[in-house]
Amino acid sequence: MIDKKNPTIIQMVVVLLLIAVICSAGVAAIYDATKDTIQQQKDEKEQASLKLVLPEHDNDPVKDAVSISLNGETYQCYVAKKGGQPVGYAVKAGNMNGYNGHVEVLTGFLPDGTIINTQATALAETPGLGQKAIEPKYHDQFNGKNPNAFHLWVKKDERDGKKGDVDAISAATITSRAYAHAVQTAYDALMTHLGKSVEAHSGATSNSNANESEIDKDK
Amino acid sequence: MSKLSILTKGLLKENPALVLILGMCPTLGVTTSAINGLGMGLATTFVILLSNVIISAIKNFIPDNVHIPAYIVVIASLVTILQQILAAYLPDLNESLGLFIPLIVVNCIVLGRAEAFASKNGIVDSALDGLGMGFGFTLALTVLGAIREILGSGAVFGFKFMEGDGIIGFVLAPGAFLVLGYLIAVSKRLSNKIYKKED
Repeated sequence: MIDKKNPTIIQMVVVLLLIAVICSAGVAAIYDATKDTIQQQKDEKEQASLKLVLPEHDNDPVKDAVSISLNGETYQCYVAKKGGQPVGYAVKAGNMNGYNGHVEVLTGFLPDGTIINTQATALAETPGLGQKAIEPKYHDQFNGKNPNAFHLWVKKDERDGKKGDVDAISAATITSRAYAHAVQTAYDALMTHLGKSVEAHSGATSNSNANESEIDKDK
Repeated sequence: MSKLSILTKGLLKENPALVLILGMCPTLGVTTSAINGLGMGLATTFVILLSNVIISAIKNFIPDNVHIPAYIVVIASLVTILQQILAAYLPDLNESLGLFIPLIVVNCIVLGRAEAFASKNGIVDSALDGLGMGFGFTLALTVLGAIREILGSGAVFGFKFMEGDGIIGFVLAPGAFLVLGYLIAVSKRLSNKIYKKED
């Protein structure tokens, strides 16, 4: 029996070692039992987001996905096909410009670049303010717009003498900028992939910080 | 102490969040909605209950001077297991609680109950204590979350009863402190009323 008050060093080591081994075994067993379900949940979630942003298709967009490199970054592009012909693309792009850092958006495009729908895949903004970007009221404004005519920056920003077309969420301009910028990045990536020239105004690396000096006086 | 009073003392008399003021990090952090509060409370209950039972069962084999690391290993393993189960079966809750799930490891209520109760009492009493403390914590978090959700978003348990936005301040951190302050005052008054007769 172990002397609780004056244990030898061996006793202490053995007891701690035993506890650690038994606990690790328990964690490993549960990991083994749940890992398939966790992966399945992740896949289902991805499929659900893809379904929202892509047109009707008869292939598996995840299997036909391609990687696009642009400005040193790699973007995942899911291709929807019908009868072997591409009918839509979904590009996942993100940035760290949200009020709480990481913002990632999955954007679906028609082959001509028109936005079908957007879906935030990572967004942890302030509840009641920036988090409203997941509401249709904000993100529906992108639907059916083609970024070659629709300027993907907020209305109060001006870039190359052009005013933005994005209605910012009130009191959450930073989030609105980051979200619109992610959509722009996705568009740029897709255009690179499709071999079309990207218009000069959409310098993917610079545009979100262009108006840093007047950032959110109203926040 | 009777079995019943071990079970019920966590609800009001020694409520971990409102009377002992323990576990403030999840109490203030996740209670932006009633469902988050309930989820966090139940997750913590799961960990307290199991850690109390396990620690009470192995307490006689643990030398005094290594008992803290031994308890922490047990608690951390339980939290990791809980996180995997949540990710597999309740992914939405897991996502909305996010970082606060792994932080249950350092929730002082869990280690506090292990130290103050489970290491000195039998398995059955420790289980009752864990359940009582867990439910008390769950109750406090759910009420706190519900009040913040009603005032801040005009909804309760995700059911919206009011158009438009609520008072955003209640969803943000200052609202958490305000509501918690009032809850502590109310629970103190209730507790005085109920337990005065016994004294």
